[in-house]
Amino acid sequence: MHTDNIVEDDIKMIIYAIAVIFIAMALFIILFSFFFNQKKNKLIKEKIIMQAKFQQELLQTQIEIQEQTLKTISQEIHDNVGQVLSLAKLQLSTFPVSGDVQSVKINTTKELVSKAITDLRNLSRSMYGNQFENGGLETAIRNELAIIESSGQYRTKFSQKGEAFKLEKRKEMVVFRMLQESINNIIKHAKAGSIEINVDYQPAHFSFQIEDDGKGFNALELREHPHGMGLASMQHRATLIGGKLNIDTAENKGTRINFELDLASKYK
Amino acid sequence: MVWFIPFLLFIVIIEHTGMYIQEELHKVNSWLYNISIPVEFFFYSYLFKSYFRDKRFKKIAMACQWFIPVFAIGNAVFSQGFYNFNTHTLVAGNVVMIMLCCLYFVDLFKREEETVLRKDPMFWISTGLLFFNLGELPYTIFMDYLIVHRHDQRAMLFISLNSKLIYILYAAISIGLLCTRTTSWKTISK
Repeated sequence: MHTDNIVEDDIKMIIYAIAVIFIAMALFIILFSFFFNQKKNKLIKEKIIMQAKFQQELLQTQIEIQEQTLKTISQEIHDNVGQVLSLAKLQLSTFPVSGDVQSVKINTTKELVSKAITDLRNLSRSMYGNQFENGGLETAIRNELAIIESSGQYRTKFSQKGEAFKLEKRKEMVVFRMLQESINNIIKHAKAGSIEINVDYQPAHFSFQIEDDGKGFNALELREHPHGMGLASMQHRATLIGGKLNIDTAENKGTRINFELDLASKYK
Repeated sequence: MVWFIPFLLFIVIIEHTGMYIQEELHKVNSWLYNISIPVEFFFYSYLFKSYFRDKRFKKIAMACQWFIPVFAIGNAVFSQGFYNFNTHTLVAGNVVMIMLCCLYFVDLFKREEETVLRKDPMFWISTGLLFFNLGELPYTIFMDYLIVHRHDQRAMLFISLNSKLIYILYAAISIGLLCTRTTSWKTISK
């Protein structure tokens, strides 16, 4: 009887001991999972940050290459093509005139060459992108609009809210290129009659809005089946400087592009 | 997760029916648990199969899901009988559950996206099942011996071990279900 009690107690202890060991194992597995998962989450977050940083740097490099290419082309236009046209104009001036008909033709040719020189000069200046270094962003925008208006095909309007101040040079360049891209898109696709640009300078916030009365487009369809790099390029540029781009459009309803930049943004 | 509430209702009905048969009718209620235990393990296996991301683990869970009822029927017909408590089915179910819980944690480790464990309902359910099945396994292994030789010990051990483990299991399941509700509320409010 006494032996039976000892055996009973032994069996009870064995079962309890094994149960406790197994429960301790379960606890170990749970705690290990928990800490392993925390470490994994930390690594995933670091990976996301690194990927974002890499994308930023890639975008920055792409934009710098674009700017450098545009500057090179601008200089080539100015140094070579512009010079050749100037010489051509000069030669036309020395051309011996021997009648009314010839005189009209030569004058018309001289006017065409002058126009070509002016257009090339404007194009070169626009591509070089240093207009706001002297007169500020709003001067550069006004110049762009003036060039467009001189074609006779568009009515343009520029308005500004708040007192203008200089943004960081890199951001100003990017904003200017975005506006140029928008204007190019309007000229190429919109079949618009008017272009309006509004710029808003606030102490902690900069924004611009560019609006046209053209044919608009289906933004969702374009996002799914993109053709051309224009909108994507603008989105990239906006993201690069920490801004937000919003496109409001519909077919036959014109297009409005809004850009907002928080000047206290962490992106530098 | 939508089947969990009906499942819990099923457990409540079984437990009350079992108590009624034993305490009011003074009859053996083992046959009731011989039916309900395979159903429980079948449901939990189905739950794991739904939540596994790895295809191999899904296949293992599906195999376990159908192995348990087949084993239970085979055990009842050819080994322990329908009216005796089927301890072998219980041991097999415990082992399968422990294996599926471990596979779930491995599946969790392999995920490439950020996971917040305390908000994952299946993490809590797996935790509860792991504690319960690992804690109960020694008891179920010795159950045959205890039934034959030590009736009073069996009752005492059952009360002291099983009841505590049951609290852990259903507390963890409750937390898991609360996580699901919180996620649903946040989705609705967005």
